[in-house]
Amino acid sequence: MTATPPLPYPNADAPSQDLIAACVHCGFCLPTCPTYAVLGVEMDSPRGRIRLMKTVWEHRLGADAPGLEDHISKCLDCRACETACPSGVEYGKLVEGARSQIVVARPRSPIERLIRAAAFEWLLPHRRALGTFATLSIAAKRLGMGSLLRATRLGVARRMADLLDLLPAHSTATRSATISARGTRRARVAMLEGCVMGSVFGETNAATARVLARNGVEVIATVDQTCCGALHAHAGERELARDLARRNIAAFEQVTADAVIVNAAGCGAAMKEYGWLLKDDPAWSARASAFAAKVKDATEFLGDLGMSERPGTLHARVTWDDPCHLLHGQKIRDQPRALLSAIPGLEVVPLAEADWCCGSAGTYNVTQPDLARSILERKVANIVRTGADTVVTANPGCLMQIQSGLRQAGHKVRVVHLMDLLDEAYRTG
Amino acid sequence: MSATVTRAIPADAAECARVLADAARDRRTVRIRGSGTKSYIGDIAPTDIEIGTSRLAGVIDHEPADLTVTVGAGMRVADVAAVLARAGQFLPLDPPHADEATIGGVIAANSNGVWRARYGAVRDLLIGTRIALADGTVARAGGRVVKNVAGYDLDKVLVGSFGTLGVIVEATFKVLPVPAASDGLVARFVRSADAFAAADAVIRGASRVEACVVERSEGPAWRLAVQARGSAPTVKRAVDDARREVAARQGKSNELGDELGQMRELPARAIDGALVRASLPLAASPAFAETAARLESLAALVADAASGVVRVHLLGDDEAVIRDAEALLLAARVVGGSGRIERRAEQLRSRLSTWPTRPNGDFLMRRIKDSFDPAGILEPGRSAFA
Amino acid sequence: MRGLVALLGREKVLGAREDLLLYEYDGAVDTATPDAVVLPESTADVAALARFCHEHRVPIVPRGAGTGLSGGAIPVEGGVVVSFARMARILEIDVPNLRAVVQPGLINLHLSTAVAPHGLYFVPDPSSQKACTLGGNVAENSGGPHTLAYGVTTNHVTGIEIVLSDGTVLRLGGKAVEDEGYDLVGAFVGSEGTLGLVTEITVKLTPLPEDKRTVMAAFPTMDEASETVSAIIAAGIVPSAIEMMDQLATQAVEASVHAGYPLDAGGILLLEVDGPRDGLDDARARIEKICRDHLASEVRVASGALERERLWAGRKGAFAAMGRLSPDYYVQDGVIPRTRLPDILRLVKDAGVRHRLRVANVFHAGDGNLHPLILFDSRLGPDELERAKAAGLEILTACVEAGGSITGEHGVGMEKNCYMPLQFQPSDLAAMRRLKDAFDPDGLMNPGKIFPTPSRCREFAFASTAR
Repeated sequence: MTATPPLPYPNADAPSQDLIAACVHCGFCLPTCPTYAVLGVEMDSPRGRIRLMKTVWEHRLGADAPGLEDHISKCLDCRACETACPSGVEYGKLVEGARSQIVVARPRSPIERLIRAAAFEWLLPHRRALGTFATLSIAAKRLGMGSLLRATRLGVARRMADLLDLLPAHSTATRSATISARGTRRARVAMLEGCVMGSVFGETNAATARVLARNGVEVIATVDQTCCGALHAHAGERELARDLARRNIAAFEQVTADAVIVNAAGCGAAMKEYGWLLKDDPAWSARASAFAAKVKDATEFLGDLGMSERPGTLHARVTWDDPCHLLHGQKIRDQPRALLSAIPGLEVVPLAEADWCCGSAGTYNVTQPDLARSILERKVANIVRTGADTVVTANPGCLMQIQSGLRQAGHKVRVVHLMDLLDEAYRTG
Repeated sequence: MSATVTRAIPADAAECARVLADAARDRRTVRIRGSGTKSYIGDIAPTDIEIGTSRLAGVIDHEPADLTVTVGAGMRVADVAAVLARAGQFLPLDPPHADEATIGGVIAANSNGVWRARYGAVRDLLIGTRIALADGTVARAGGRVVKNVAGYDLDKVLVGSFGTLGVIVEATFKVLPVPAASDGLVARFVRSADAFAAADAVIRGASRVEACVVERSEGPAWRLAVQARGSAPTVKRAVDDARREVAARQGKSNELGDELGQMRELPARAIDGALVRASLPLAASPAFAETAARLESLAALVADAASGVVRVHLLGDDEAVIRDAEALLLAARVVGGSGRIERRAEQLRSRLSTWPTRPNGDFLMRRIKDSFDPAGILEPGRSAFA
Repeated sequence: MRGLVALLGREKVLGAREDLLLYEYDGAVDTATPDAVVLPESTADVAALARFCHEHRVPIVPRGAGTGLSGGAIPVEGGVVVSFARMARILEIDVPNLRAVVQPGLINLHLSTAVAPHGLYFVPDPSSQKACTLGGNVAENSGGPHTLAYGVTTNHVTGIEIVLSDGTVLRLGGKAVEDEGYDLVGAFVGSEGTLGLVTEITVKLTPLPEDKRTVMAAFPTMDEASETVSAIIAAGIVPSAIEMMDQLATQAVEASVHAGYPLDAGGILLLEVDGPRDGLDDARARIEKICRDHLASEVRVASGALERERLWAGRKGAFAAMGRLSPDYYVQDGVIPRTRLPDILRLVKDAGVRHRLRVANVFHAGDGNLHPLILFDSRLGPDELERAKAAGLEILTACVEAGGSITGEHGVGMEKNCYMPLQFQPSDLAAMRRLKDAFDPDGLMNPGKIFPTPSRCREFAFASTAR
């Protein structure tokens, strides 16, 4: 017996060689990659990153190579490359796999470890903690802490200030209760409240439930649900992501629902992949797949179900920006556009590069501030060019990012979640 | 001098190459002659040897379904056309000297007519050549298939090289089925701007014309000739569109006769005075034509609106012709184009060089020439970069 | 390395191992690692780099988006790879002159998108047009499905700015259709980066056709599809595109873009006619009839722009979709006279069987430009690629024997330079060599491409094939 050569990656979450093999390095992904557009180097393209993962398998590069971490973490995980790829390479799974290995392989400074632990293990999974943090941050913002922090001219402080900029001026955290359908019940759903959505955009959750109810959908309350784990998975914290996934699956299994509705595209994309996340856990893999099959984005669910009640008239020039994890992550393109067009009175104008990332991408603003800014500026320029007074999207990260970008550039354009806009329309109608 | 010119009429490529090798060894200069229709181009003097291509003639390969034809370079274009016509096809080239010009001469002189609008020029239709070289070898460039990027595109270098690199002995072209219908119009305009604007609208319009040429000859009027060939509905549409553009600019349309043929044959007629040929950015043609119209020696102007190639025939007092020709060449360069004195009367030869200025990249051209013809025997006086 | 950084600055030079590893591949199968990668931002950068390399006798290898299919951008003899990713601007859209002036790193499709509001487009549309660059198109003289009626890149380039290997900057041609003297623009287009570096390109813009008709026809076997192509040409119809696909290719495409190709067809034709609206339906009807006369089981006419796009998306993504069938593929690019299509397709099939490899066919039937995609799996051992290459060589040999060419649009590169003697006599290659020596006397520009090299081509000492 020959000895098995040591695995080049630390553990079994490594980017799958079979998924890598689907890449024929044709280069079709390059022009769709925001980081390639800014940096123009192969290492910061999807094809290049896949090649990096492959060279580790080939023992030509160590999993702890600093360049590997640099380029893999510069990825937005926006998955535009997946939409462009004729060979169907599942890039999102690859990059998350690679990140999980870097987390293990690369030693980190104590401070870095502390911040990661605070964010991923304490803040995100505990809604009350996040709510408190959000409230404090918003208070800080209203007190003008942003300019104060900027005045210190410290890199860390500036990033904090930028982060504050992203937050809306008011937090509207609410907890949902069961809302019965108006008229004949057409469906019965449970809803993910989400950590960020629940803490910062609670009103959007309520609006989503009202819009669904208007269309004959009963929204039932759940207990014990938690953060979806998307940010953890994106950051390579696979075990934490799995813990959260198991908690959510167990929580939603307690209720009987036709679907689990998510109004944050990033969360929905992650939850649809619970099956993949837990595929090697025999006790959970079947349950995870069954759960994942029930997950629907709010726009997807309502779009497919069809609207039973016509919304009221709104007067605005609006444009739709695809959240990456809706379009590229969940391949949902037509439904939100159809819902938007169903609101009478709106002038819907197309947005150039609507399929491009806005640079939000989870914690990207914090980890790659310069790149995030370049990417955001491109998005803002495209929005301004449409002449729209309202940008509609469907993901909290995108909402905050685009809002902040427009405000910094001095443009008074409203940024709104599609569910909020629909709710508004129903209220006028 | 001319009394001692040796004439060689090789029967095949190998013999042609031997003649060249012998000439190179003996440092004897060589002129290559097809039908001799374009012997006016260049600053030429008699050579020691003249190679005739008349025996390098005939169709070598023609498979109609492949839409290609391979012919000997000495074959007349008109004869190639006759052969193709029997198969319902045509070579989409209409060079001046239509009755006499040979395939080899048309390639060497990059001689194009008015069909460029639709089918492109020699460089676009030629897909392969065989050439006899001064080192006694025979080389092939390109091939016999319509698409081929194996190795360098030497065919392009040969087009317009005036025999300075070797003797073209065989050529392969793309051909097309003869269109079902044909029609056209000729229109008169008072103002050149209207004629050019109408031409420009035709070129940019949805319907595709075969030729679109603006002319000024006798009198102050400008003429626009448009021809379309294709399926009956497309031809009708093209002529209707052209008529509308003409009418919109106060032009008067008539049925097309042989006007395009006359326009194309301007180089054949321009025996006296000087013929300036300029290749211009498309939008520069109207201003260039206006400039030409103000010259005292202007006799005729033919502008291919689709390609930006403009020919101006100057006639009259030698001094005026020289002055006007130089002014036109300068004007061509100023607007981002280039030009040459394509033809001039015998008495002007010493005073008007065909290529008074060197093109960009002349040092590269010189290196190419030297590597193909190190002894410098081929076609002296016909290098634009000399 | 240090010299390059001093010359151009740290931001424009890559030298880390993990960086260089990512410039060792393109869209094809060959690899080689560069010694450095440079990302110029101007012609001046390129000229400075060339002077540096000239002084130190270092090879220069230009690279666009790395989508090439003949190893053209692979530094097979080491040296500096010059990536034009940061020279990707449109410098001028000149509507009156129907020209655009662009930098070499510009993506092909971005040009057509930018000029579309003026009712214009750039004709050459290689299947990789969403990713490939104009500089790469110039280097390879790229084609695409619609070159059947409208020509390839060389027919649409009127001017270039180039940097020679000694750093000389030269502008050739311009906005006019021709210049005096030798056609150096024509010589440069298709020279695969072996004559110099192109830093600016002036291209023709063409008015968009008023309308199009796109027809998809499914046939029981490739034979009927081939005969249909000949019959259409014989009927005097010259479509703007005639594309053919076999069943294996169809399966890969359908898994990828759901173009709506029937999976049970042995051969599929995708045909397009375009131009003035008048006459299009007449041409379409004649094509439909010919297809049905040749036993087409289904003839579908795209009902609108959306369906047309879907039909074309399938064709254009076909190579890349091979990843769904196999981790690796080796694509050939041989050209044959159209009339030889049925024989050669049979031969392609036999070659696959003989070498125990699956072969998919997706190609430009209208101009006889084959693209057999030989599927293999490099993870099973080096023997796989060797068998694929052996099958490829048999196919190319057959193409040349049929009077064709070893490459119609992908270029010779380092993939087929050893096969050049199949198609060309020593005297033919010597004539090409003269051009090379005039532009690049020191042999620094993209060495190891186009011409057979003694070190790598020893095993291919073909007896010169007679024509």
